[in-house]
Amino acid sequence: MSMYTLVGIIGILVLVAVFFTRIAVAYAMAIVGFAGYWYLTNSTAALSLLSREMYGVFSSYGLALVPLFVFMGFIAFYTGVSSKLYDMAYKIMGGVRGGLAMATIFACTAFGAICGSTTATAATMGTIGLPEMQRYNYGNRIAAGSVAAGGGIGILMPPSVVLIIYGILTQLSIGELFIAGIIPAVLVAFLFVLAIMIYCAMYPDQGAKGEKFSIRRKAFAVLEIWETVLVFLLVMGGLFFGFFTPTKAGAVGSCSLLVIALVQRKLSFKNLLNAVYDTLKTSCMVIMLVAGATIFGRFLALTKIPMESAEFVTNLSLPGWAIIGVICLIYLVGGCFIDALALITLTIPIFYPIVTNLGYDLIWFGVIIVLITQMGIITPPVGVNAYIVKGIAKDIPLEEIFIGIIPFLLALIVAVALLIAFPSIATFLPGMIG
Amino acid sequence: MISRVIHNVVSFFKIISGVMLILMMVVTCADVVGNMFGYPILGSEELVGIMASILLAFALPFAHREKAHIGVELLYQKFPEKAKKINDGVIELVSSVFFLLVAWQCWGYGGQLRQTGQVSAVLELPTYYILYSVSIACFLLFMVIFAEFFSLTNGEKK
Repeated sequence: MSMYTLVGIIGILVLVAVFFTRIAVAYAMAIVGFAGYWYLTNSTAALSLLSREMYGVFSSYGLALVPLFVFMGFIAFYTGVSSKLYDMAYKIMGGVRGGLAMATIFACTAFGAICGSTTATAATMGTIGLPEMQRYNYGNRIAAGSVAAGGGIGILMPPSVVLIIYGILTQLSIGELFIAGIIPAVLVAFLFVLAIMIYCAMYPDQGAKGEKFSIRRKAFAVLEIWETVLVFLLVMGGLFFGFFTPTKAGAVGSCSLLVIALVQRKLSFKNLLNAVYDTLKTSCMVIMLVAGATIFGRFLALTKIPMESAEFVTNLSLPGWAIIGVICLIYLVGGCFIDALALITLTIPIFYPIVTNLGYDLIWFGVIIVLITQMGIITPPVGVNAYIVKGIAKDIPLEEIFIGIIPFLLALIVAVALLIAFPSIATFLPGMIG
Repeated sequence: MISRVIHNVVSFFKIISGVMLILMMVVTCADVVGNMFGYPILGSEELVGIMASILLAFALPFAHREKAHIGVELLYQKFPEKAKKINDGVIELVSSVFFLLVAWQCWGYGGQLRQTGQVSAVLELPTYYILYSVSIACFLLFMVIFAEFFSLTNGEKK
């Protein structure tokens, strides 16, 4: 093992140790990367790395995308679009066994189509869906599980902040990544519904039937959600048919949602300010992660670890799917401890060359990673969405929430297996972009 | 007194960032609409790119103050109180020095770009502004973190 590789491995270990001091993950990556770079080169090179990389990140293509799409999500969050979405899904599906949990899943998927944040989706759907399910005496497990897992669909359903970051780090087309996420997100939603059906068949008392509605009222409920449909079609249609660049799509999406909200008087000035400031906070968090990962990535590149590990893995003479399986396992275990975005920014410099060497489609790989991180946000001990549900429904014990998540976790594993077996689920739509 | 000044400057920067966000959205939409009628805004993408970098740079101190960044809480919660304070102190000192270095380096690199006269492709806007704003923002971030460190060590003495 060369000295460079050894320093690289020590650097990674130090970074992991430093994480446990509760330092911001972004700062930790930047500081450890800078120190390692200094150790391997000299002070002048390391100091100039700081300014070059900061300039690179702050003048990068796609930078404007982050605040614009995040803003769109927060406008949707503060205008209460979610209650209409839930109402629509409830009227359509509420009448069957487990229907309220299914409605939560579909409302989450629809909300994810205009909002890229999983925590916002889980929080907003939790406050609407959980009381309804408790009113119909739903079991705690299925109620909490459906909100926590449903909230996660938002990171796959475009616009997705995780996919934007993956696109910036790998320089892939963000428009194509967005389009690639649509079918897998819908597939996951259907698998979640299937999981609820099976669960309710096994434990019929857990998910009682709700109220039934006439076809006429169902149709009216669908018409009520026109804003969401319009904005989603505008943004994704514009991207798909090549009318917009992703930046323009983000601006048009947030602007149209803002105008609709202001015309309908659904957004007070105070909430507009809240949306703006929440956007600034989230965007800065994201961009600092990118900056930290870039600096750490430069250090790793110097140690040659990414290239050597890619070579090592390629020489293992294992089938490609087995290697992808191992990578998935690493993400799954890592996702239990570290936040999804942080984990992706940290590992992309290492895994990207491996996957490229194996000859896999990189857009497909992006979708796979996002699916896996979706598991991370609902698994203990760090599963953010489980804690959000706990914050809303204080009477449900955390263990019940984590047990309730199991059927959805199984559904996600099935989704990953399907995507590995049939990559075209993700690559089919982007391949059609003209 | 100083911490109140820092607080106000951070809030002022936050407002600039917020204005940039709205401007970015409006300029891009105006370009899209103008384009439909054959009047696109020349160099709008460049303008939006510069606005985005100012937006993100100037919001950095605010994001730090509001604890927007992700950290791993898992072991930290089990630390005894004294260890938590020492841990926080070391982190704040190291992070503040790091951002002071970034501020210094970005200012220097900005000066280099200014001398070479590097400008953007369409509107020929100077690009060193990006580095200067990152530098100013990182300096403010250094002040914010150092003030935290200062109040932590002072609190311990009491």
